[in-house]
Amino acid sequence: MKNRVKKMLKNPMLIIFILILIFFTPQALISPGQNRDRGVVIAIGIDQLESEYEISLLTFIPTAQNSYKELTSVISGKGDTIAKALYNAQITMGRDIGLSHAKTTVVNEKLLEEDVAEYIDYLSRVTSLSENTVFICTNSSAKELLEASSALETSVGLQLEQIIGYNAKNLYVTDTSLEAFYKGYYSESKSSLIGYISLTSEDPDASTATQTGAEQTDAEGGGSSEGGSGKQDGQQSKQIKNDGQAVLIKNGKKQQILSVDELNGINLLNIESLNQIITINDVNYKDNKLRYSFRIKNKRINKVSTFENGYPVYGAQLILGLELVEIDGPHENLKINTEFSELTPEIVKKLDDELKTQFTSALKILRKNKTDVIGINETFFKENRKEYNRFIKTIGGPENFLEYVNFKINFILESD
Amino acid sequence: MRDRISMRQAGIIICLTIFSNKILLLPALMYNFIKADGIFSIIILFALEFVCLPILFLLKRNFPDEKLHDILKKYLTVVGAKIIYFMLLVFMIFKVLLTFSIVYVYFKQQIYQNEFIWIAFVAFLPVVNHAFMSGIKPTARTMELFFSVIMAGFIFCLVISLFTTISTPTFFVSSAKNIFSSVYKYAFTFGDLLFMFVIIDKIDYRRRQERKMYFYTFLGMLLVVLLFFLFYGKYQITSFMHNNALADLLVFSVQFNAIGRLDIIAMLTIMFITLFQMEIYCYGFCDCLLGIFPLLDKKYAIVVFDLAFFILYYVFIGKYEVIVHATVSWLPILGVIIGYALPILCLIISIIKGRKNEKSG
Repeated sequence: MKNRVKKMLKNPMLIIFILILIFFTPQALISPGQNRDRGVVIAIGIDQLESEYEISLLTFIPTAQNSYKELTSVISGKGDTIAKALYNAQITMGRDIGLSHAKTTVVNEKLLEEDVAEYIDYLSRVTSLSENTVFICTNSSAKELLEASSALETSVGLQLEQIIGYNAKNLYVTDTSLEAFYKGYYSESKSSLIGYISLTSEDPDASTATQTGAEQTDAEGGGSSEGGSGKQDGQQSKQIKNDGQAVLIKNGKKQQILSVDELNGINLLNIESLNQIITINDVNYKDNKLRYSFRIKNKRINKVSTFENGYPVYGAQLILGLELVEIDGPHENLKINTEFSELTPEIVKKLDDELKTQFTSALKILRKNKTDVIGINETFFKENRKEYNRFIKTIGGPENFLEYVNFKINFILESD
Repeated sequence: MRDRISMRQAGIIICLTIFSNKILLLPALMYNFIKADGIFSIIILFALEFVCLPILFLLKRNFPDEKLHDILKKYLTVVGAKIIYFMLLVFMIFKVLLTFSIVYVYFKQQIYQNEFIWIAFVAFLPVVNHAFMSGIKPTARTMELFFSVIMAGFIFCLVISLFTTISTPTFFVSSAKNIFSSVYKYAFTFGDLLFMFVIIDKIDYRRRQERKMYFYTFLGMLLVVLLFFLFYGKYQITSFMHNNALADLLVFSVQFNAIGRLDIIAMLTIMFITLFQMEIYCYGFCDCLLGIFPLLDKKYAIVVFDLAFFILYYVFIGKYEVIVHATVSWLPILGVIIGYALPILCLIISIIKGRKNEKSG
C-alpha cells in the first residue's frame, strides 16, 4: 500500500491535480455565488436627456423562492457620458453589470439625432453587448419602455423581443438587431432600418397590463431603481403600442419613421416579404362598388440590373400569387372569405396601380433620404462592377446612386 | 525507438497545427485589411505550406533516422544549425504566446469577463508541460483520441452557420498588391508544418502512407478555408468586428437562441484545439532548446519554457494587442525566414544528399 502511494505520488500530474485542489477548492467554497456580484441584464435602454444620458437596465435577479416567477426590475443611472451613466447604474444595482445576456437594446428618438453608433460601439466593445441583441427605438423614453415591457412580461408573458421579432419577420424582413444595424451602417449607403415601438399614455384605470410598484429615487447618486413595474397609483401609466413602424437611419442618425404601408412598399422587392394586404376600392360587381382586399400569398421575383446608355436600370418582374381575403360592399352575401376568385382585367389594373403607387412612394422616401436599404448599390456592384464604379465617380459617391437608378417594375398577378 | 509516431498521428498533428491562430482572430484581421479577398491570401499561403510536405518526405527519405539538428549540422556547421534552431525556438515560443493570448481573450469574453490569468495558466501549463515530459507518442495518441471529437465540434460550428443567411462574399475588391502584401503580413500565422521538420526523426515514415499525411493536411486546410468562406458570407461587411470567427458562427445564429447557449460547443472545440496546439509548440520549443544545448535535461527545458512563457507574457507582451501587432509587424520576417526559407534549405540539402547517394550507390 505504502509503495503504491509512493508510486502514485511520483506521477507529476497527480501532484499538480492535488495542488490545484488544495489551492482552489477552499477559494471556490468560500467565495459568494456569482449572482451576488453580477447582475444579469436582459435589456438595456439609453436615453438622451437635456444635458446628460440615462442608462436603464432591465435586470433579472435570480432569487430562491417558491414560484418560478422571475424577479425583474428596471435600474437606471445618469451621467454626462454613457460610461458614467452605466457606472452609476452599476452602483445603484450594487453589482457588476454583464451585458452579454441583454436581448434588447432600446434608444430614445433624441439619441438618434446624433450618430447612435458612437454610443452603441462603446457598449459592444467594452461591456460585451452582444451584436444579436434586438435594437429598437422608442418615441418617449427607453426607460419607460423597459418598465412597460417588464409589466407586459409579468402580466401576459410577452417579451419585447418577441413583439419586435414578429415585426422583423413579417414587416422589416430583416433582423432588427445590432448586427443588422451595423451592416447597414458600414455599407456603402450607410443606411439601416431598425424597429420602432411607441409608448402611449393610458388612463390608469383602464390599464390592464401594468402593476403597481414601489419607486425609489436617488438624486445624489444619479440613479433610481423601480421594483416590479408600472407606475404608482394616480400617475398615468404607459403602454406599449406596436404599429409595425420602423426608423430609417442614415449615418447612425434618424431620417424618417416609416409606416407599415411604406415598409410594405420597400419590401415589394424582397422575396421573403409575404402576407401583405393590398386593398383596392370601387371594384365593379353587378352594379355595386366593392372594396377588395388581397393577401400576397407567394412571390417570385426575376431581377436584372444593367446599364443602358450609361445609366443604371433595375428591372424586376414580380409574379405575385394573390388570395382574396375580404370583400366589403353593400351586398351582404359577399362579406365572406373567398378562396377562389377571378382576377378580372379591372382588378388587375387596380392592383397594378396600387402596387406601383406603394413602390413609388417608398422609393421616393428612400431617394429623399439617400438611404439604400434595399441593397441596390450592392446588386449593381456585384453584377456590373466596372460600370458601377465608373458611374459612382461621376455622381459623387454611392449614396447618390439610388437617385439615378431607373426602375422598371412589372407585376404579373395571379390568383392563388 | 519507443517515442515514435505513426504517419496517421503525424497527419493529425499537422491538421491541428493548421488550425492554430486561424480560427478566431485571423479572419477578422484579414477582412479589415483586404476584405473577403483574404480567402485568396490564405489559399496562397496554404499552397506554399502544402509544398513543404513533399519536401519533408524527401528529407525523411534521405535522412531516415537523423534529427533535423544533425542534418543541419552536417551541411551548415554547428553554428549555422544553432542559429536556425534559435530562430525556430523564437518562432515556437511566439506561436504559443499568440495562441494563448487570443484564446485567453476569447474565454475572458465568454466566461468571466474579469482577469483570470492565473486560472488560465494553471489550466493550460501543467497539461502542456506534462505532454512534453511524456513524449511525442503519448501526446499524439491523445490527439488521435480527441481528433474525432474536435472535428465533430468544428464541423458542427460550420454547419450551424448554414441555418442563417449566408450570401456569397464579394471578391476581388482588393488589388493584387494588397493580396500579396497580406501574404507577407500574415506569414507568421502560417508555416505550422515546420513542427514536423523539428520532429522529423520521430516520424515512423512509410512511403505508402504518405497519402494519409496529405489527406489530413488537406482536410485541415479545407476546413479553415470553409470557415473563412462561411464567416465572410455570414457577416460580410461587419466581419472585421467579430474577433472569434469559429465561435461567432454559432453565437450569432439567432434561430438557435431559443435552444440556449450552443456556443459551449465552440468553447469546448476551441479549448481542445488550443491545448493541443500549445502542447505541440511547447514540444517544439523544448526540442529546439535541447538541440541548442544538448546537455540540458528535459526537465530543465520545460522549466526554461515556463519561465520564458511567463516573462514574455508579462514583461514583453502583457497586452494581447501587443502580440497581435507584433504578428503583423516584425514577426512576419521570422515567419518568412523560418516558414519558407528553411523548407527550401531542406530541399537543397535533400537534393545534394540524393545526388551523393546516387553517385555512391
